[in-house]
Amino acid sequence: MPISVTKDTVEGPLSRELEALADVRVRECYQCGKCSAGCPVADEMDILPNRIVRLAQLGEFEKALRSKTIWLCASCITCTTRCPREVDIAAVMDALREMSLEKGLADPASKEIVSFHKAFLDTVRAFGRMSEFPMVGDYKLRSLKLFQDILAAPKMFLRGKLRLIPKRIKGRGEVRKIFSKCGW
Amino acid sequence: MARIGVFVCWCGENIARTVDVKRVCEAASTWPGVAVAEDYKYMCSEPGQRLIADQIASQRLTGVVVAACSPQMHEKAFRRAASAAGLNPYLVEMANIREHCSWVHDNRAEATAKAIDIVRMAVAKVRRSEALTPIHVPVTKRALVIGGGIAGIEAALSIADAGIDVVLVEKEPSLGGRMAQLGETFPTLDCSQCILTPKMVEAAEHPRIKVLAYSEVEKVEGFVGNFKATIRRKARYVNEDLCTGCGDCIEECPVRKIASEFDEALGLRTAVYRPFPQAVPNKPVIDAAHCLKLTKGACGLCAKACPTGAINFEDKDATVVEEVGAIVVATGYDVMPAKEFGEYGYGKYEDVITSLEFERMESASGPTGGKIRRLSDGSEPKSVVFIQCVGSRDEARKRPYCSKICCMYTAKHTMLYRHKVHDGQAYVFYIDIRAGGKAYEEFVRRAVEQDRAIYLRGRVSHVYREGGKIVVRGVDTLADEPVEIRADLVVLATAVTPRKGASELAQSLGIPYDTYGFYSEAHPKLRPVETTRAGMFLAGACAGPRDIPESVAAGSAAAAKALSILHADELQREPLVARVNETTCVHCRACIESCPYKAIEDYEIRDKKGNLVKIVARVTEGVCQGCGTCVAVCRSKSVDLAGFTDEEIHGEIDSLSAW
Amino acid sequence: MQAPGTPTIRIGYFPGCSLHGGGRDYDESVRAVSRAAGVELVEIPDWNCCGATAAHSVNKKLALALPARNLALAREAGLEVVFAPCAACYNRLLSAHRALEEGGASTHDLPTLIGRSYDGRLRVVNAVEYASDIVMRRLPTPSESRLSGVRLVSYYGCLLVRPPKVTKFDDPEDPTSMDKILSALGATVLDWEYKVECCGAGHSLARTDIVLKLASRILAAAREAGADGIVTACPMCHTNLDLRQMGVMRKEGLKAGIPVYYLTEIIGLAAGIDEAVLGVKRHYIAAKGLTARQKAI
Repeated sequence: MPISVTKDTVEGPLSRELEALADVRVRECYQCGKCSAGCPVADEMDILPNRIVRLAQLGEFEKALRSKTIWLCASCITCTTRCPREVDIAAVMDALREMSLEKGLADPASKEIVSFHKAFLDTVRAFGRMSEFPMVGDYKLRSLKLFQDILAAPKMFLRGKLRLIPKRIKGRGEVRKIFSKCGW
Repeated sequence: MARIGVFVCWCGENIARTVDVKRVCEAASTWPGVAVAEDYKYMCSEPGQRLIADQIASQRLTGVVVAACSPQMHEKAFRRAASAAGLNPYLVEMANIREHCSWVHDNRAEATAKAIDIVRMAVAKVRRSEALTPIHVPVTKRALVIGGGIAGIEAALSIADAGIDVVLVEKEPSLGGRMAQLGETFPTLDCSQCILTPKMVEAAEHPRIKVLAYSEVEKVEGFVGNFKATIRRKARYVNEDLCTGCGDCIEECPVRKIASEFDEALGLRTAVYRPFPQAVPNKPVIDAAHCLKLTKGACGLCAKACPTGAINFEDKDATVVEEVGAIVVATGYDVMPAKEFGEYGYGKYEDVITSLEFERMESASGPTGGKIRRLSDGSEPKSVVFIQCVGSRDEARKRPYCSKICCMYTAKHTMLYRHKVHDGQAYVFYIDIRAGGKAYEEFVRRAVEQDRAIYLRGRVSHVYREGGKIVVRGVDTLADEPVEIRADLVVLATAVTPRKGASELAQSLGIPYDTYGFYSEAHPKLRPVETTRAGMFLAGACAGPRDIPESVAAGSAAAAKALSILHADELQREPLVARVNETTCVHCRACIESCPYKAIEDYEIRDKKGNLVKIVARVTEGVCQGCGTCVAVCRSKSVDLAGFTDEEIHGEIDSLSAW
Repeated sequence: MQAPGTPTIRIGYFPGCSLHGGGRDYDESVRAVSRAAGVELVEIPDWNCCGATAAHSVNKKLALALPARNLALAREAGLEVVFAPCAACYNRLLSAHRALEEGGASTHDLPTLIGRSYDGRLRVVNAVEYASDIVMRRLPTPSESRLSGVRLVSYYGCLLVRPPKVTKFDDPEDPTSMDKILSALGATVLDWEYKVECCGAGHSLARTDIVLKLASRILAAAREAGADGIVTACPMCHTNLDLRQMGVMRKEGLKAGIPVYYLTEIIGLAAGIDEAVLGVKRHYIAAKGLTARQKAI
């Protein structure tokens, strides 16, 4: 089925949402592909970074929000640094991730990556700081990758790198309030 | 007794749709001094102009107001029509009721009222206007062409062939410019030197062209028809009259390892040198910074070798002044330094070079005799990656423009590479292919289809060295795949930029340039070879990225424009210039200091015995551009602008408050 | 041990969550070197997690608010310089600082969000800047370098140098600031092509396969160059090159590993601080005995 491209599909509410969230005007991109050329994880992606921006340009947000690409992005910021039109592609990726979660469109096959972010922030919300031991436990429950790195844990412990009891900061209530005000 | 004719144009629908033209006529006809008020659909057309001419005659008009479009459009035409009908052309005033009225308003009633006011002002002005006669300026029937590349050579030959003497100034020791550095030219693959050198020789031998090579224009004074150019002739240390161009001096010179500018530092030259063997004039120069005699007082072998004693170590820079009537600026271009691109590794990896360097390498008369070689180990590269748009279309590097020629010369390079290295493979990373000229698109397709260059659509992100290869990380957006190529040689098509020193030259010439330093045309569409400075013209890449056919066309066009000034003994200029009332002038010099064209001078009024009576300011009519700055700054109200006198302007203002 | 006559100075310290856990060796070497240089590290009181990659990946407001709280706290404690040894913390704190400096729409409700105000008067420095601008000049230079003959490569990673508009630090394509420090310490610094190539960052847990792929290239390049060790200034990079090197070695059947050091460990070793104090023993890939003296022991 050919897609429909009209003034309204191209400049709809999602386009405005992306522009506001990322502070980026995607129409400035002329699809040179330099971002994709330099992306260290491009090989793994289902949609190349420049094509993600193209989808945004055409208002084809669903494909972008459901992609694996946005979760595979390692936030290395090589794309933004080298873009000749100074389009902040890294910020576009951030914004698409946020929009994807908010609309419940996150790619199910990328659940480990999404679980990692959620587990990380769970510990920050609870203790004020990320703590590896509870974070990994949370991640494993979310992702069901129960046996991952199981061999590494004793090694970490022996080297004094595995703190079992998380440090709780005094201001953790403040931090919790920040989380709730941000809607997370 | 004023008898003004008011002619209101409909401009088809442009004015009449919003302004009630007949109403304007009615109003005008009631004003004192207005003898006749007529309207017509297209006043600028032949019948329209005839209407005005007829009325001037039959109504014995003393002034004309044409209420129509902007004076920029047809003022000249209406003035000509009036003049032909016997009315002084400067008693014609345009009332702009289109750009200033019908085109910017919707409300018919309000627009009509405004149009009436505009016409009222024009009538009030014309009642106070005086008949003016054009200024006659003598013309020096000589031309100056700055820049001896293909555009400059073409301009010089065109002017000289029309019977006018030309002084052709070139900064380098030889004519030829960038075209001399090229191997072959697109889209014909003509040998560049073969088609250029005959023109260089023609220019040098033309009886009407004086070539001043190894010289630079330092300063230009004066005004159209009467320029004075101060030119510095750099010391050659070789007497051009005695030198036969035998080249023995070059053979003997012991300093042989200077990076050759002509070869983009890929080759070497001697201290006494010719930039290339086919140089015109075919006489060497001595590079004073590297010559052992001139720096240390040693050597002197060239002088001993010279059979005619042409070497002159005592030579000094000399200054000459040339008087000319018109100037063509054809100073050409540079390319962006590739070192700015950290991600491409130029300067870090020897096997990453620029397109201009590749051009020299590929050229039969170049540093490798036309053989394509890796700079790291001298081997023949079997895979060459060409990267387009290095610096062009690059907002982040402040050059958002397209350099126009790179798509074409890169295609050319892939073809020449294939012709020389039969088992080699060329790859081109591009964003778009710009091939708009005649036979250009076909040329690029030939590179792809016959010479099997592999074109990949996408910018390259990173170039680095691994093992003995240069790894290129790019992308093909058409196939949606990141691409990695392990190349032997990488060629960067760097952006076209103005010449170093271009903005300084423009400032000394008084011509404007844009934000990148390219010289500005008077109008980008309709006046591509003129500048806003009367008598100065542009040709070639100094105005922006250009290919050879455009540069040649511009050279001829600039010549034609220059000839329109130089063919006559005298120039007529509009008399809308400033005038100083020498009685009331107190010589405060405010006008002299503030004139942007340096058109006002101190003038001593002396009596018959030669005693100084008074010093006043005096306007050189030929230079004055009528900007009015002096009128504004004059504290004693002693300066007035013909055609825009205080009386005329006050009349316009007063007319609005009258009724 | 600091150069005689130099008074102790106080520098704000934002260790970041890793340095209290997986990056403990980094924290130890930072403290040891700072002590030796007469720098009193003042930990920002009750600091919170900067949000790292997770926050900016899912919620922009949170990504600004979490570091902004730390900036405000630092100022409340009267600090003017904050040293963040982790490149991600550095990048997040600096990004929030720049955003607040610019005063764009996204920052207008930040003071209300965090319940604190920030006057903008902080300088946030990374480990390389901390070393070159503060520590190096306060440590005496030994007459004979303990690192002479030791061949090292500098691994800057991503967030120290990108995006250049935020970090304004060194050259994002070919940085040399860490190389210069290592040279000044007497080591032989080797040039290599992987200075700023991404290690896979936060994918270490969720997509270890990607990290193994990227880390393996970086490690191979270091080996190719003939390095005795890789030097980093970020605990995430260190983890991906050190902890995950075990996985790379297993995958590629390699016998010998290449040790990965923190910049502060190298500075400490060069200054003659005991290895045991610097945390070198906590590495996964054997890293002891880098300097001549330590080798002799």
